[in-house]
Amino acid sequence: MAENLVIETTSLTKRYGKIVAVDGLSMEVPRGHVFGLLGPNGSGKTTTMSMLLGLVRPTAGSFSLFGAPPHHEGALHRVGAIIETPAFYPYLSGRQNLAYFQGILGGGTRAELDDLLEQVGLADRGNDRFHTYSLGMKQRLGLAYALLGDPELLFLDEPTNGMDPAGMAEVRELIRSLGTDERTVLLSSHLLHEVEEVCDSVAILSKGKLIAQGKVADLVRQSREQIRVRTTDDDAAVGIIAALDWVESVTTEAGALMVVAPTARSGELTAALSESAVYVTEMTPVQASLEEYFLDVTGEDEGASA
Amino acid sequence: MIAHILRLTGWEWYKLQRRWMPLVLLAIMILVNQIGFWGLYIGYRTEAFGPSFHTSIGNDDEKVDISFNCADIRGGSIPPEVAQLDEQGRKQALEQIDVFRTDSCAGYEGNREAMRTGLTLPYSLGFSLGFSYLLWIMLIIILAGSAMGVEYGWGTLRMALSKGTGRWQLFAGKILALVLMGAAGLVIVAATVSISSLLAALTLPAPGDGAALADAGEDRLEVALTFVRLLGKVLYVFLPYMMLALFCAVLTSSAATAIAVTLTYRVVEWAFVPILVNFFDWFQNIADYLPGTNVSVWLGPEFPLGNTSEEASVLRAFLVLTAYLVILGAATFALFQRRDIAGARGA
Repeated sequence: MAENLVIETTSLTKRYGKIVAVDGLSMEVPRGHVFGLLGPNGSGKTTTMSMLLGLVRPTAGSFSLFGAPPHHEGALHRVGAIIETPAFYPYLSGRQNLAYFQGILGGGTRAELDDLLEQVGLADRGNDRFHTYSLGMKQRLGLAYALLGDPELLFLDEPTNGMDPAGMAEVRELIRSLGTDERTVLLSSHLLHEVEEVCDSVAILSKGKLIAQGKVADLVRQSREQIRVRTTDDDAAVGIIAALDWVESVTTEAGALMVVAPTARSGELTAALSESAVYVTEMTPVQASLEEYFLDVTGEDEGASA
Repeated sequence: MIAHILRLTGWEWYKLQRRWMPLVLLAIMILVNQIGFWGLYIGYRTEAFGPSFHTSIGNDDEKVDISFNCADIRGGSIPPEVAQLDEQGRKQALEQIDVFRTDSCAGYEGNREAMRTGLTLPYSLGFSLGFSYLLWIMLIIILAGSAMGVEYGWGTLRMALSKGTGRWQLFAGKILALVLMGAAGLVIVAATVSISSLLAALTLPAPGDGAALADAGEDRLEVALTFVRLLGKVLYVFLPYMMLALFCAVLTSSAATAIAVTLTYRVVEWAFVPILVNFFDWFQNIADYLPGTNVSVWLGPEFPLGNTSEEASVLRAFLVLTAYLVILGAATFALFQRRDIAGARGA
C-alpha cells in the first residue's frame, strides 16, 4: 500500500441474501483530500462506509485503513464518522452525549467539548436534550462527534441532510477546511453539486459497483461537450448537423438544439448551417459539469440529484 | 484492557443513571418492600391472624361463652368470662386455656417473635432481600433488555463502535454496569427498609425471650455478614436471567422483544413447571436442569420459595446456573462480536 493512501479496498463485496449491496469495490483514497462517494440512494455508499468502520462484515474482499487490517482498533481510533442520521441518546443533552463518547474513547477536556460545540454552531443549545434538536442540529452534533479527538480520517455520510441552505453552505465550507494537510474526509452524498463543490476526488457508485474514480476536474473534462444552438430553421438544421461526421448526436431540448460535439468546432458548425441558408441566431457552449459526467456513466435513469 | 473495560463500565453507569427506567424500577421495588414491611408490622401489632378459641362452659340453663386468643391469655392472663363460672367450670376452663396455650399459642408466639425480629435491624435487611429477589429478577430483565435493545433502536451502537471502542469490551462494560446497578438497587431497597425498621422500633414492644438474639452485638455482626452473603446469592441468581435478556436483545435487536421473551419465559417457568412436574413424573428430569428450579435450590430455605429439601444439592444448582451463565454469555458475546450493526430504526 502506498504511504499516501489512507483507505484501500480490494474487491470489497457485501451481499444480503440475493441482493448485492457492494459488488467488488476496489478503491483508493489518498491522504489529505476530500474524497467523495457519489451515487444514487441504494448504490452502496453507506454499506461501504459501514464495512470500513467495522460495523458490517464484508462478504468478500479486503480493505485496509492507514495500512492496518479490518477491525484494527488502533486504526479506528484515528477515525471520526457519521453514518446515516447521527444517533445519540435522546435523554442526554448534546454536551452530555459528547462527554459520553469522549469518555469511552479515552477522555478529553471540557474545553474540547466547548470548542467543538462552538465550531459546529451549537454552543447555545449544547445543554438541551438531544430529542429536542431539529434534524439540522442533529447533523451538527454528529459533526462535533465525528471531530472528537481530532481524527485523521473523517467519514461523513450525507452530512448536510436536513439542513437549511445557509447551514449546508456553512457545513460544506467546514468540510472543505477539514480536508487539508494530513486530514482526509470521505464524503458520501447523492448531491452532485455538493460533491463537485467540496470534493477533490470522487468515486462514483451505481448498484454497488464502482463505475468511475478520479479527480473531479479530470472526470468533468471527460464528460461530453455540448453546444446549444438556435437557428432560423431548426427542422432543417437537425438534418444538416446530424450529417456532420464529427457530431455525436443532435436533439431538441426546450426549443433549442443540443449538439454533442467538440465546442472548438463551433465555427465549422455555423459554416455548415449557413451553406444551406440556415442561420444561427444563438450559440452557447454548455459548461461541462460532474452532473453530465455522472449521467454519461450511469445512464439518465439514475436517482442522483443536482 | 481492564482499565478500558472499567472506564466503559463507568460511562455505561453515567448513561444508565440518567435514564428514567432504573429510577422507576427502583421506585417499584421500594414501594413493594415498604408495603411488605408495613404489612408485616400491622400483622404483628393487630394480631388479626392469630389463633383463637371459643367454648361454652356450664349446664344448659347457665352456659357461659368464652372467646379468647393468644393475646388474651399472654403472661398468665385469664379471660374475664372465666370469673362468671363456678369452681368446676373455672377448673374446666383453665384446663382448656392451658391446652390452647400449649398447643396453639406456643407456636404462634414463636412466629410472632420471629415477625418482631424480622421488623428490627439487622434482621429486616435479610427480610428485604428475601422479599425482593422474585420481583427484582423481573425488573433486572426489563433493565437489561432495555439497556441493550434501545441501543439498536436508537442507532447509538454504531456511534460507539465506529470509533474503535471494541465490541466485546463495550459489552463487558455494559454487563458490569448492569450488575452494579442491580446490586445498588438491592442495597438502596435495604437502606429504605432499615429506615422503616428504625421507625417501627419506636413503637415495637420490648423483645421476648425469642428475640434476645437481636440484641447480642456479636450476632448482629454475624447477621450483617449473612446479609452480604445473601446479597451475593441473589446477585448470582440475576445473572442467567440478565444474560438471557441480553442474548434476546442482541439476537432480535429489539428491547421490547427481548423483554417480552425473557419475562414470558420467567413467568412460564415459575408458574407452569411445578404443575407439569405434578402431572408428568418424567418432566422432573427436565425441571432439574431449568434455571428456576436451581435458583430455588441455590437460594435455599433462607428465602421465600427457596427449596428446603435436604436432598437438593446447592453445589449442583450453582453449577447448573453457572453453565447457563457461561453458555448464554458466550453465545451473546459471539453474536454481538459477529453481527452487523444496522442503523437506527427510530425506536
